[in-house]
Amino acid sequence: MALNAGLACHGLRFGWPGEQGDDRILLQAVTAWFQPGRVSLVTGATGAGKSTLLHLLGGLLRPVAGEVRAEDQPVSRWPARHRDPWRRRVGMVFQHLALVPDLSVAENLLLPLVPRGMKWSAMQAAITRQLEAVELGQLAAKPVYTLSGGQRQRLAIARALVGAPRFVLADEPTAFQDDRQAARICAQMGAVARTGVVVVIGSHDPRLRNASEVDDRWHLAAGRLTAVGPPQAAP
Amino acid sequence: MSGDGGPRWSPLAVWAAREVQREAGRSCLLFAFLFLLVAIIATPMLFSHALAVTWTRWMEQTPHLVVRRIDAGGWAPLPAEAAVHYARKVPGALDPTPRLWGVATGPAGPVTVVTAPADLPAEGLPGQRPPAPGEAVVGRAVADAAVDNHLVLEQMDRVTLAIVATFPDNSVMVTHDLVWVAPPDARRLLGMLPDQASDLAVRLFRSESASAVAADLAAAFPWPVRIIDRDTMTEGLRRRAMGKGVAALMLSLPALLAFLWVMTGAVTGPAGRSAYWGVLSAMGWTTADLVRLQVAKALLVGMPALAVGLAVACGAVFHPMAAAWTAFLLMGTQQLPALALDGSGAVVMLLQIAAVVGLPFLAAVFLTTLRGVEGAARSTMEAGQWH
Ligand SMILES: Nc1ncnc2c1ncn2[C@@H]1O[C@H](COP(=O)(O)OP(=O)(O)O)[C@@H](O)[C@H]1O
Ligand SMILES: [Mg+2]
Repeated sequence: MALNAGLACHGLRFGWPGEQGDDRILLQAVTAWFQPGRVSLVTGATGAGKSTLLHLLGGLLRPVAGEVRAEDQPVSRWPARHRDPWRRRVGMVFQHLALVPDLSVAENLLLPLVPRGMKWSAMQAAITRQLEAVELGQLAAKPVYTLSGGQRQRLAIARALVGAPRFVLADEPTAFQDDRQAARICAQMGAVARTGVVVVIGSHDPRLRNASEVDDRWHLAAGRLTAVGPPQAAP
Repeated sequence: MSGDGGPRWSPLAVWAAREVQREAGRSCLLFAFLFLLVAIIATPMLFSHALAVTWTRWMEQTPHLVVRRIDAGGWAPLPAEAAVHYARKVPGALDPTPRLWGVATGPAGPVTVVTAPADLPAEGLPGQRPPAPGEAVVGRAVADAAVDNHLVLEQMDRVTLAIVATFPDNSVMVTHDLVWVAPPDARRLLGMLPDQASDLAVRLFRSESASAVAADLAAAFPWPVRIIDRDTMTEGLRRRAMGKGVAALMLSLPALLAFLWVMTGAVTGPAGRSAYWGVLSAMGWTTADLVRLQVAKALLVGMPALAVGLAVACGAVFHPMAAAWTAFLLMGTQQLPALALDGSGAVVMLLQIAAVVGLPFLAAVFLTTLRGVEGAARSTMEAGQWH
């Protein structure tokens, strides 16, 4: 595999406004490489900056220093007019989901597809496929506000995947799920990664930490991201 | 985009329609105020344009110059044949025509007495037979004041006439105080001899030569004359046509457009949408996509509003019943010609109005969206609601 493939960050530094004092910098010098075809898990205590890191990787925030490279392109340095269309290649599962509650389940999945100039039939097929994958096929016409927390989160996952992204950034994707659904989501992420996609999951969910689908493990603490050795391989 | 079998609408346009429906309250508000604004702006514009067209048509029937003989007591009758003879000597003065007309006192005040179809507006005469001696064709105001279909006029003499017809209502601006009589009755009434005329109408080859020809004419007659040009003759009618209401509305146009700008910004701008726009831009919607979406929504609401507003304005100006009210509101009078609008004039007019309202509207949508989107993604991120 080419070394420049996937999603990489070099010396990424970020602090929220008002927290610029040296010790208040959230991410100090984060360097990592998330490879295509593999599921990478970023763990860390709450408040460690997992969500912030995912937003930096997805081009929703700009680093103070360092850069994010996607397939060897310095996307974090791009002006908005190049970066916004690039985001179509990113599927983001937000920790707080960011669904549009008054729209139906299917319409929420339509949103990322509308500006892409796809055929209606292709959009319909993609939406149906993703809803089936997250077991929401029966609820397509329901408004989102009638869904349970777990259903909403699965919808957010479906929305991240519906546009066939090259980079999937999932923030706590199993937070509201029972064990069966959590396992299914792990399997889904693994399957997506097998198609050559970069999958980065930020989570403190122990069910994910021990999942066999996770290929690479990273730990975020005190503003630094360190690679964690593979879990004890099953004997 | 061509769907295979599915609807062939661009997904963005379909989504725009969905959002118009989703924001039903705001859409209705936008529709209502755009429609009102178009109607308010279009009505006086259409009205004054139609007046101008009608006006020009009427002007074309008016002679370029009129020669009157004057003496110590004011104006005097002129000998018709001699006047024609002198006028013919002036190059550029065409068709000198003696006219027999004057002012007489009717039951409800002064009326204008005329004798020849050439002195009448064309729309006053559809198939009208000239009155025989003892008969009169009269304007609306004169007819209303007449008793028992008989009209008594007084000037140098007293003449009683039977009203045989009334000028049609659509010519009322020019005919309302007009009385058309046979020449013998006019002579008796105005105290003129058989060869005398009230004045001499002259046509010009080019209307720009009016002042030069007027000077030559003045020199050509052996008696003192006064020469009146078309503008002076029609001054009173012009003043009647250009009401204060029209002028006031035209003056308030900048204020109306400023209102349009502010309202559009408030209704179609980022207020209440910036979180949503933030979500969309996080999913790969570009600023251009969002602007296109907002403009498509604006067109979906604005075009019907424009159409309905223009239809209402057309009704207010051209529908006979509504037109009387419009005239009253805009000009303080219900006496109004049947307004005419030529085909190409109407199209130009509608395009003008569409431009006057539509372009600032779209510009406002465009700019507020552009400005709103810039901040939307960042401010939503920094509001921290997705962490
Ligand atoms: N929008 C924001 N504005 C200011 N500070 C923020 C914002 N979002 C997160 N933070 C701060 O950044 C730190 C890390 O947050 P986050 O990335 O959500 O951590 P994690 O996802 O690991 O729990 C926290 O201390 C939080 O207070
Ligand atoms: Mg988080």
